[in-house]
Amino acid sequence: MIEVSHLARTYTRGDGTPVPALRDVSFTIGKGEFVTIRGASGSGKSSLLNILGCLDTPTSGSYRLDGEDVSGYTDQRRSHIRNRKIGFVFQSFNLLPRTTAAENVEIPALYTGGPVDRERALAILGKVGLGGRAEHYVTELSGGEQQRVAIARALMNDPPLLLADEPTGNLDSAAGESVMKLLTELHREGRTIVLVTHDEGVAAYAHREILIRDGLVAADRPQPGRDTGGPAAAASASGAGA
Amino acid sequence: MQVSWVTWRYLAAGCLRQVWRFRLRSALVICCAALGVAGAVTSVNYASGGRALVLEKIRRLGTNVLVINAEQSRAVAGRARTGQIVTTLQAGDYQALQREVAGLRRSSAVIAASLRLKAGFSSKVSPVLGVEPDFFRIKSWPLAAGEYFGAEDVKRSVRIALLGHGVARDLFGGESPLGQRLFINRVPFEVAGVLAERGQGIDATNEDQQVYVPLSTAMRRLLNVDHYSSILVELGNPGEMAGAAAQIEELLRLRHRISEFRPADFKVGNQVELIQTQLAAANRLGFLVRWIGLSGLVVAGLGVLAIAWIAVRDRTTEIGTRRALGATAPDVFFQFAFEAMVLASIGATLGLGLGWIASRITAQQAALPFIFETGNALLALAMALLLNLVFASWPAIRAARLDPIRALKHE
Repeated sequence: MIEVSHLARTYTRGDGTPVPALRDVSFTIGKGEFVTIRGASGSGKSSLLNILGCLDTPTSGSYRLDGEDVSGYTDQRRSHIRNRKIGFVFQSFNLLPRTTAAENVEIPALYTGGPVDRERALAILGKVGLGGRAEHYVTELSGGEQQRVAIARALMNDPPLLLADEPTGNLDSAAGESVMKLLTELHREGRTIVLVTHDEGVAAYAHREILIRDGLVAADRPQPGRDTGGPAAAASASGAGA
Repeated sequence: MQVSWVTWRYLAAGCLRQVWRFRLRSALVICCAALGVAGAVTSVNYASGGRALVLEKIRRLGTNVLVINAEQSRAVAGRARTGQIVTTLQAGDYQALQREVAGLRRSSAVIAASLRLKAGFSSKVSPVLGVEPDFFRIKSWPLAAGEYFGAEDVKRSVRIALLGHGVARDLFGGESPLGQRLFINRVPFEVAGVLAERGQGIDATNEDQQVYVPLSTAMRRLLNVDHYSSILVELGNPGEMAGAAAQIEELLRLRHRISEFRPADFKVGNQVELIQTQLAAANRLGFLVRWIGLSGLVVAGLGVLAIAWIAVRDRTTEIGTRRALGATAPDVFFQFAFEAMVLASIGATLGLGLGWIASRITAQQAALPFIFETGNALLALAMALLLNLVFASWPAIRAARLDPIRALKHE
């Protein structure tokens, strides 16, 4: 699913001095894996997330997503990749205020160029346990519910990869746990999930952990995972994905 | 890469939802655009109304009328005195004019004096004009009631009078003056008719406040004079005005034995000159008003720009989110530009309606004819849409160019 090799990203400061954020990062994430990318702030994990999410391009190295080398893509093509292949879940939910849950879920479908399938949006909301809240304004929902709306939105275009950036960062522990359970469930259905966090407790839900430090992969190790079965079990279930 | 309406069909529907989502802001944009168009349309229509009024006066007066006034300009104690009434314009001059002026179609000699009118218990001093029947035809002046006097009445010096609308109202109130007795300088007259209301004339005299009697009646029975105050000459063709004026000037100087180096005892007035001055003023106002209207549209466009700009700033996170969820830069541009354009178009169209109403009201308040210049209104609408497109594009371009990573971090 994801293949990065010798990925580097260097920013240029205002006075022209280069600041390397990622130096040389290589790893592969297979279909159906549940991986956390963990690192302290300033470790380069945000830069890595931006590249994995096709929001940014690497300075050097290559990034293959779903068999496609996207590292040199234009902004426009990366937008299409984001639209169809990546589902984003943000720390602060990033739902549109003054908009209902269903309308928020529909947003990715707006950019496919086709008609918006409301039935599908409602079905996904039902799946994340918010079937009765579809017509509620997102501001009327609790934090946990809002994040579940955001996850439903990420699933709207049925992307193969789910990219979650600190999805529990703004939630209390109970709500955080329900969100993690939902992600685990999605993983069990065969989705590839990459979760960026600095929280070890959250990282423990995944089966593999990639630790980033100073722009390099400091460790890449399997985790027991809290849900039943490891990556292999998930891979075997991937045929039955939603 | 395909960027077309087809791919944006569904996006457009989503944009309309944003209009409702930000309804206060939407309402402001609509108001802005509406006021711009309404202002432009109303001011242009107001100027057009003024112009139409002048044109109406021309039509009423005729563009082919010359007035010969008997007046002497002479220097008294080193100062020029104009407009002194003289008695040198007489029947012989009039007959010569009628005989010799090429292209003369109608004419009427006029004698005027301010005299005391009395009817019943009402009394007032008014200008009384002795005129010939053609006078009313030259002035294209219809009757409100009664009958004109004819050539026979002039010949027989009949004591009948036609009243201006104002005089009839002042002397007889609501009563019909037809057939009533009217004393002019204690001479009894019968009221034969009332003329239609004219309003203020172009030369600032109020013709509604005058009384008209047959020329000979005025000269013999009222004033006992043998001269005229003025002669009205209508030509068959407006193109002959200058030539005829020169001919009359020459003819009268010859008859009055006044060399061309000395001031004459008459003045050939070309009313068209007066009108043309007014028309030029009206046209200048029209020009000015068009610029004011245009600047109003620009100001309205800037209002749209400002609100769209604030919208982009306020919705930066939203833009970042949409970009992350797959909106391309052109999608974001389209979204913001389309949203602003929909609102501006609604506003501009409302402005057209508002302008129509406002034009009606201003026309009524200023006693001008109501003119709605469709061409100009559509031009204003088109200008507004174009300006708003330009002004709305700028923030939309800014929105499209936002770096999605930074936009997502924006708080």
